[in-house]
Amino acid sequence: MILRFVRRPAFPGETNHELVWTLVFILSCIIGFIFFQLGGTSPSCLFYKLTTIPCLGCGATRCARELSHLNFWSAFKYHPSFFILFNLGLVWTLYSLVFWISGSSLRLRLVIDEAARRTLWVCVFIVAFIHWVWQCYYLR
Amino acid sequence: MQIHIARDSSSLGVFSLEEVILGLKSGRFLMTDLAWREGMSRWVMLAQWSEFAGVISAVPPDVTPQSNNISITVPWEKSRSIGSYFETIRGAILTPYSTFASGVFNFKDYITFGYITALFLIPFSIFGQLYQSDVNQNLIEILESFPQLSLSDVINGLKNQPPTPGYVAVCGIACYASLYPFFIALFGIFLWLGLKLLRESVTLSQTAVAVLISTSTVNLVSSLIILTAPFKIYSLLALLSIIPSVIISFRCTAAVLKVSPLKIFVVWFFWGMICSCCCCALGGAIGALGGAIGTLAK
Repeated sequence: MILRFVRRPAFPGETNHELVWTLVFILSCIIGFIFFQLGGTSPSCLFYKLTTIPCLGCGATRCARELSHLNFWSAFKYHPSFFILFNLGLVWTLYSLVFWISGSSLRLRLVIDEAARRTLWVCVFIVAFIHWVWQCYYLR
Repeated sequence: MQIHIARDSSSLGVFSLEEVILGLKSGRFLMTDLAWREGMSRWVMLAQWSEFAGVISAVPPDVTPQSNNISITVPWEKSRSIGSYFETIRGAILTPYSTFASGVFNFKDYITFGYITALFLIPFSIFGQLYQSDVNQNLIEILESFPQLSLSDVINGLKNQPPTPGYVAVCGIACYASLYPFFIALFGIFLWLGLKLLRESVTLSQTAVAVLISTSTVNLVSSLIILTAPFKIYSLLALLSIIPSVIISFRCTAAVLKVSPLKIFVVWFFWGMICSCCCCALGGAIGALGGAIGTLAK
């Protein structure tokens, strides 16, 4: 099973992940910040209304709103997965900025084979389940 | 020794020396595939690796016809002029599948295309500003026309803001025009992500170009409607123009990407749901995950 990071040059035509995801993260932060400063919110959850059980997405808007007000602990409690995703985006953006400033040609890439990919998917489902248990406890 | 192999802008994975030798013999890998291993400064074709010299001589030469002589059908790629710009727009509206049958679709080549659109849009935007001086008021009216969305907080926030000064509107138009191709390309990223989830092999550059051409076409067509802003028919025309705009946009994007318009609709629907309702997005996300896992399991 192979699952490790390597630093290698980009091959011709490879997606420029250092540019794309950094732009997506920064623009999403700007749009989100403006949206929440204007008092924006999302429609209430239909799944929760029907079943009184939170869905996997419940609390994500509140998490984003708390993040826009820099209330990190509160944001984590509302939606741990979104909070982790936000932090991964932040780490990637910081790495990308270092990459662009240093002018390096070696890019950080995850090397993963099929067996590791399947294991990773199983881990994602386990994390999603733990997250959902937390949602059921905290948001109900 | 781990060797990274790539072909046609996508990575094939990491393989051992023995696996690559076997792959070359079986035809899994081509002599033209790019390869890299730790310590190398750039990717090199397998044909140029000394390790595979003996193997390559035993492999029959690739008889696949090379795509060097493909005739470009996109007017903008044949010659970059105002004439070819309008020819491309005309083709995007009337005959998208034949117009975009063959092209390179490199985003760098289409930045000028985007700026030409922005230049044409500026007079219409200024004209629109003359008749719609308060941008906030217009936005409030649009948002209030969707009572089913819980936007009351946003509407109240906008109502409490002072009217937008004229210079802000001018700066807004200038910013929009100066960033136009890149702003549109951002939407291309979302489409590309969605198509990747649907296991479509499209490049980011190609997707950004598809969205840029379709949006330019739709913007140009709908900008003409702004000319009716002083008249009462404006709202009705603006509303009716949505239908042809959507048809033009989907047909054009599908023609550039060589993907079913239905898949493009699914992607935009998926993003629309994520932005408006987390429950529906959850269903879409689970479906996409299931599809991805199903593909992996094959």
